Amino acid sequence: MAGVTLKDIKKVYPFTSEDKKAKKRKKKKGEIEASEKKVNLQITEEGVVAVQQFSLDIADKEFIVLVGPSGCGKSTTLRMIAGLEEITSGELYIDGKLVNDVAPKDRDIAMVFQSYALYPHMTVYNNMAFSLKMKHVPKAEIDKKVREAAEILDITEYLHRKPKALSGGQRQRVAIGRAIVRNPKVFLMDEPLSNLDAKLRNQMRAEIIKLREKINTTFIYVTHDQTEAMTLGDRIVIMRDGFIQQIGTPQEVFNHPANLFVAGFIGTPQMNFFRDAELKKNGDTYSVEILGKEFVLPEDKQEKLRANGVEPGKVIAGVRPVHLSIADDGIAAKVDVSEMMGSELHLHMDVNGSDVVAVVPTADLGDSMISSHQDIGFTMKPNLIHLFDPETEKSLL
Amino acid sequence: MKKALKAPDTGALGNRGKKGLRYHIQKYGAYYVMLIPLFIFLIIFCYLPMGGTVMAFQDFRPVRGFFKSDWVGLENYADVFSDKMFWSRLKNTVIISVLKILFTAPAPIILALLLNEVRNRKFKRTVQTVVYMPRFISWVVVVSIIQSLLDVQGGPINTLLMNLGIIDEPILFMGSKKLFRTLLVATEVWKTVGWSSIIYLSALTNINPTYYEAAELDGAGRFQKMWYITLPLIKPTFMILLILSMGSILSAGFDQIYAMSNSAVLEVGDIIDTYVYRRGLAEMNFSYAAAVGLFKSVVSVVLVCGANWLARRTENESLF
Repeated sequence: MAGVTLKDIKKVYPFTSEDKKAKKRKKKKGEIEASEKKVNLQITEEGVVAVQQFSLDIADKEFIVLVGPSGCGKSTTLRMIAGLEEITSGELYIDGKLVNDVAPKDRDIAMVFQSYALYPHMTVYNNMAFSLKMKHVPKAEIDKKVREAAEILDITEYLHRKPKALSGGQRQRVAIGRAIVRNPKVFLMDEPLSNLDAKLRNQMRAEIIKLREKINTTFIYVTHDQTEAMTLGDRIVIMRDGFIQQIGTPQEVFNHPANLFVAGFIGTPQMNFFRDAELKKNGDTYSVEILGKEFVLPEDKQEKLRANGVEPGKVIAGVRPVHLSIADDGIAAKVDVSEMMGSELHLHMDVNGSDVVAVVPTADLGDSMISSHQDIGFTMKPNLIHLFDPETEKSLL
Repeated sequence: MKKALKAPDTGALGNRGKKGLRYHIQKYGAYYVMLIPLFIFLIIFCYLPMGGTVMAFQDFRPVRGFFKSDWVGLENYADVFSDKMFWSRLKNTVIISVLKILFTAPAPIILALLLNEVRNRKFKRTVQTVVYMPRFISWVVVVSIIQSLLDVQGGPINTLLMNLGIIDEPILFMGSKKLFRTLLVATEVWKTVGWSSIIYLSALTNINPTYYEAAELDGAGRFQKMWYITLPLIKPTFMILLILSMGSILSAGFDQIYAMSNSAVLEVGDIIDTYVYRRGLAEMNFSYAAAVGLFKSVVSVVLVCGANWLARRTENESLF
C-alpha cells in the first residue's frame, strides 16, 4: 500500500516528422485542421500538450477518480503513473520514491485496461498467473494466489476457460483478478466498465466498492462517467483540456463546483444555467435576479460574496434540476416534454425561449401528473443557487 | 472444439441473410465485377486443363487427341509405380520440400519480428523494400547471380574463402552433391523471406498493443513478450501458411531446380517435376506425365486435409 504524489506533471506529444510535413501541406493549402479542433488538446510549438500543471497528492488506501470528457488527459495521466507513457516534465512519486524513470514492472502497480487486455490464447488461470510466473514465484504459491483471487471474484469455475468463452462481466472480473494476484501498492483502472451494458455496469460498480473493502489498497480510477466517479471515489479530480479543474470529495464537487465546467459536468441532468442573471447589491445585501424574479441570497453566500469583493452586475446563475420545485406563483414556464422516470419526473420547460430542466419527485405530485404542453410555475431555493463570473467562468461563491 | 480460421464477416454473398442475391449483387456489384478477371484466369489456367487429366488413363497420342486415343485404365500408374527413377525422384522431392518448409517457414517470422522492433520508420521501410526485391527477380536471373558468385574461376565466394585460408582450392558449389540441397534451401529462403514476412508483419500489426502494455506491467521483458504474446498470437497465421505449404510438398520448386541443377547433382536434385518434364515433354510421354500430375494432386489434397485435421486436433486451429 502506498500513496502517490504527482508534482507539476506535464505530457507533450512531440510532432513526428510526418506530422510536420502534413502540417506544412495543410498550411500551404490553407486547410483548417479539423482534427485539432475536435480534440480538446493544446497544440503548441513543442507538440500536442495532453496534460499540464497536474499536481495531486493521493493518500495511502485512497480511492481517487479522474473524470472528464474525452481528450481531457485523464487516461494519459493514468498511463504516466503506470509507466506506459513517458513524463515530459514534473515528478511522480509512488510510496515516496521518485519513479519517473522506473520501468512499469518495477513500480509495483497493477492496471485494469478498458479493453481488459486479457491474453486471448491463455486460459483465465494462466492470464491471472502470468505476472507471478514472470516473477518466478513458485508454482504452489501461484496456484494459491490465483485461486484466492478467483474466489474473491467468484470466477473459480471459469479458470480453465479462455477469455473468448466469457461474457463481458466475467472478463472484467478476470482483468481485476489478474491485478489482484500481484498484491500491488497501487491499483490503476482505465475506464474498466465502459465496455459493459448499463445493467452490468451498475453491478460491477457495486462489485468494485466491495472489492475495495476487501483488498484495501490505493486505487486510481479513470472514467468519463460522472456517476461512476461520484459513487466510487473518495475524491474526484475533474479534468479538462489537460488541466485539473477541481479536486474534491463527491459532495464538494457537487455542492461547490469551482467553475462553470465542473458545475455542468457533474450532476445528471446537467445544471441549468441562467446567463442573463443579474447580481444586485442593496446596501450590504446581495440578491440575484433570475428570469425576472429576485432571490435574496442566504447569509453564508452573502459573506462569501463580500469577502471576495464581488461587484454587482451580470453573472451566470446555476441551479440543479433537482433543486427546482413547482410553485404556482413562481416563474412561468411551459412544459415542452414531460418524462416519467418512475420515482421522479423530468420536465423540460421553455421559459421565454430558454430551456430549463426540473426534476420533480413523483411522490410530491400525488395523483396530479404534469403533462407536456402544460403551463406551470417553478421556483428555487436561494441557498441552492450557484453564481459564476461570466468572463472567467469561476465560481463567485 | 472446432475453430476454423474464417475471414471476417464482410457482409458479402455468404452472409446475405434474408435480403436475397439480387440485393447483394446490386450492393456489391462493383466487387463482383472486379472478381471477374480472376475467375477467367482460374477457369482458363486451372479448371480447363483439368480435362487433360483423362490422359492419365489413355495411351495419349497428340495426333489422335483426347477423343481418339486408346483407354488403358491404370496402366500408366503401373508404369509410374514400377519406375525406380520415379521413387528416387519422389524421395528427392519430399526431402527438398521438407527442408524448404523447415527453413522458409520460420525465417519470415524471425524477419518480421526483427522488423517489428525497428523504431526508425525510414530504416524499416528501406529494409523491407530491399528484402522484398528478390521476390520479383526471375529464378533464371537469381541462378545466374548465384553461379557468378560461386564460380570456381574467380568467383567472389571462392576467392574470399581462399584468401581467408578457409579452403585450399576452389569448391565446385554448383556441382557438389553435398552442397546442392543446402544451396537450394538457402536461395529459396533468400528469395522468399521478405515477401512471406509481409503476411506476418500484417499479423503483428493486428495484435492489440494493450497486450504488450499489460505484459509490460506483468513484468515481461522484450523476449518474454515475444515468446508469450507475439508468437502465440501469430500462430494461427503460421498454421494457415503451414497447412497451405503441405499442398506444395510434391512440388519442390520446378523453376529453381530446373535452372540450378546439372547432371552432376541430378541424383540429389532431380525432383518429380523436372523428371516428369523430361519424361513427359522431352520424350513426348504425355500420359505418364499426366498420371504423375494426378498422383501429385491427390497426394497434395490428402496432405492438406491431413495437416488441417492434425492442426485442428492438436492446436485447435484449422483452415477449414
